[in-house]
Amino acid sequence: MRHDPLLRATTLEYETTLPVLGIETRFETNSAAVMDVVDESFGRWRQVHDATHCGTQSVRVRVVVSDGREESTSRSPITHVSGPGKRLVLQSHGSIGVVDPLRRESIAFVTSELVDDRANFRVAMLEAITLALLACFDRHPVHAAAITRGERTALLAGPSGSGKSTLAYLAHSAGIHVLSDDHVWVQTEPDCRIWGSAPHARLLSESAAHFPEVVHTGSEKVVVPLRPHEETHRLIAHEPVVCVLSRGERAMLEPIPSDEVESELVQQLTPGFDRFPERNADVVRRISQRGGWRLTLSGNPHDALPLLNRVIDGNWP
Amino acid sequence: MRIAILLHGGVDRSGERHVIHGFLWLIERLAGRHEVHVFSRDQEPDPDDWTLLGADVHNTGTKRGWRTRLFSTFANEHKVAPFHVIHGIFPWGGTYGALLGARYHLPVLFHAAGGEFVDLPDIAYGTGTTSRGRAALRIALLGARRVTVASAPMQRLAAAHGVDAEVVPIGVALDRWPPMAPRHRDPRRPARLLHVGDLRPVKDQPTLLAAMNLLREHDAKFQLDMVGVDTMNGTLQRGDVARTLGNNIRWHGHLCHEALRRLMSDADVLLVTSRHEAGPIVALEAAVLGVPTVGTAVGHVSEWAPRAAIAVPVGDAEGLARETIALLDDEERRLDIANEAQRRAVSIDADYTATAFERIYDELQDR
Repeated sequence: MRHDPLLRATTLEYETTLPVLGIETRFETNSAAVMDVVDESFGRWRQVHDATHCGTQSVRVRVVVSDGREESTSRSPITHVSGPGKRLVLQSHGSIGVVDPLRRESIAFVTSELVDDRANFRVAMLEAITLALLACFDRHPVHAAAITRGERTALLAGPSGSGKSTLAYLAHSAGIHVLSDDHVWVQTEPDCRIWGSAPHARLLSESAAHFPEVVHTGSEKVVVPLRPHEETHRLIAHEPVVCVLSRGERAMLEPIPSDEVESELVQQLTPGFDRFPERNADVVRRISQRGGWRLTLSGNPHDALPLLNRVIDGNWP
Repeated sequence: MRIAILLHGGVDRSGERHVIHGFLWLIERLAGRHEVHVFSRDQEPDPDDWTLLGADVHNTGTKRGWRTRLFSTFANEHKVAPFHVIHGIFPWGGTYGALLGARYHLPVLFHAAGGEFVDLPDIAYGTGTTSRGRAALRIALLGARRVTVASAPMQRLAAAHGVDAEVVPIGVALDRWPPMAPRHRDPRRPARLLHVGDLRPVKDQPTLLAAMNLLREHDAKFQLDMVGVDTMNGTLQRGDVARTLGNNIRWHGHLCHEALRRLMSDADVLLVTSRHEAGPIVALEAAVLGVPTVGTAVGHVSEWAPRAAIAVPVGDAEGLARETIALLDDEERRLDIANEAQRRAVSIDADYTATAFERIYDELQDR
């Protein structure tokens, strides 16, 4: 073998390419276990094969696993810190990754112990570095659930605890397709598209109590799988209408003008969705331009179902 | 893009000895996306060409007539296909980059990577110490459309000379030098201290040895590994302090990068004692491997202190000893500093460096 004076880069023998959020994403790793998690997280995007959805150049996500432990007594927390050049660094007490949008790639060096902590690795490292990278390419994260039926799509916008997941589950139970129970990615060019992939709804235990079929686990949030109504999950929708959620005595629905929708969405901007402030205003304006609805929720989420149907089936406000 | 890099040395055909890894990592990245020609003078005494990491190296050699060879080699390559930009590194690269840029009307980027804005006459270090050096620097600055430096302290030195320089750190290639998590120190074994740098006055190893002597007097259990070419013919090793320290020090001389990585992976603290550094890249390499730095307030050590490094005044052996002991006695703080340093080093890795220079090349052509 030829001597490599710069030290030999690790061979990443496992690779696959998936159109995550409609962008060709090449995953490379030296670990079969990581590839398995890639498939779990993003495998459903294989169904997006329409080339018009994948017009953007590809990106690359590399994960290098080495034997090692996380230098932490409890579950390793993973912090996200913005760096220069629009970079994002994710770091635990043993693993580190960097998202480099200017080079259209990310690389993470992770311990085998973190990979073994499958759920934590999947959400806090693999999905985080992948989605943070994709978010740089006209895939703007918006804190809203998305439901869709036929050609109609509604974004249910509200801060954490406002009822997004509960309404998403309620809609799912009523045969309405759920694109996401918590956040979506908005593409603005060449037209407005909503990307989402939610195989689960995460219900607060108090909300889950309204649904007898949901098995309570005793934890603060109950994760309920959303089985697709069609053969496959829908992952994309177009030209949505925004439905701003609020709480009140009784369930009600009222149309609101575009500037009010815009103002609500700007006010609701929460940490994690504020990475691209320069882009946020444009995206908010784009999805608010038709005006929207204010959906007031009562104590019983089932009261909102007829109103949800009105939003998803009715005329634009 | 066709890029001409002028770098007096550090591009040996072995890719191992007499190289500067930070610049090799940069060259490798640039050559992966552009056509890169490196013009050097000091790499070998005789003129020759070779390929290194995808770039064509043209060494003019140091023998009589090297200037003519430099200009004719450049002219020939420029005739084959015009260069788009000249990137001069260190004073030699900056000066001759400026001359070639003027002759061929090419934009020049000058990266001041050493003692360009420094004047340390007692050790004859810095371009400011001689009229020849000052003239060369003036030419480099006059001919450059943009000037870059590796760290904020270096930027301040440039500003003191009236130069508006942009900071572009020379980062570590993570694929070649993968990160390691900061590790708990084994308190049962002597602390592993590491110093990397050629033995030369600007690195001020006498201050390092004085600090180590204070550690010894403090009954600290430690092992210091010294890595670097001895340019002082054993003067340091023969000194009284070095002899007193005896087996506390292991003198390794030059180590290949792989061996250095093994040694660094085993270190608890990197010690820097330089009187001046533009970087130094070794602090970034250590940070990527989870090793914190205690050092004099130069370059990255100064700009990262106190959260990501510990800095003491230049020449302060007592301060260096005190801070080293304090850090070794506070494992939580040592790991916190190591984690923060690693995050910062990773955020400015070699890809960041290459992207930053590519942006500047584009901007220079847009003008």
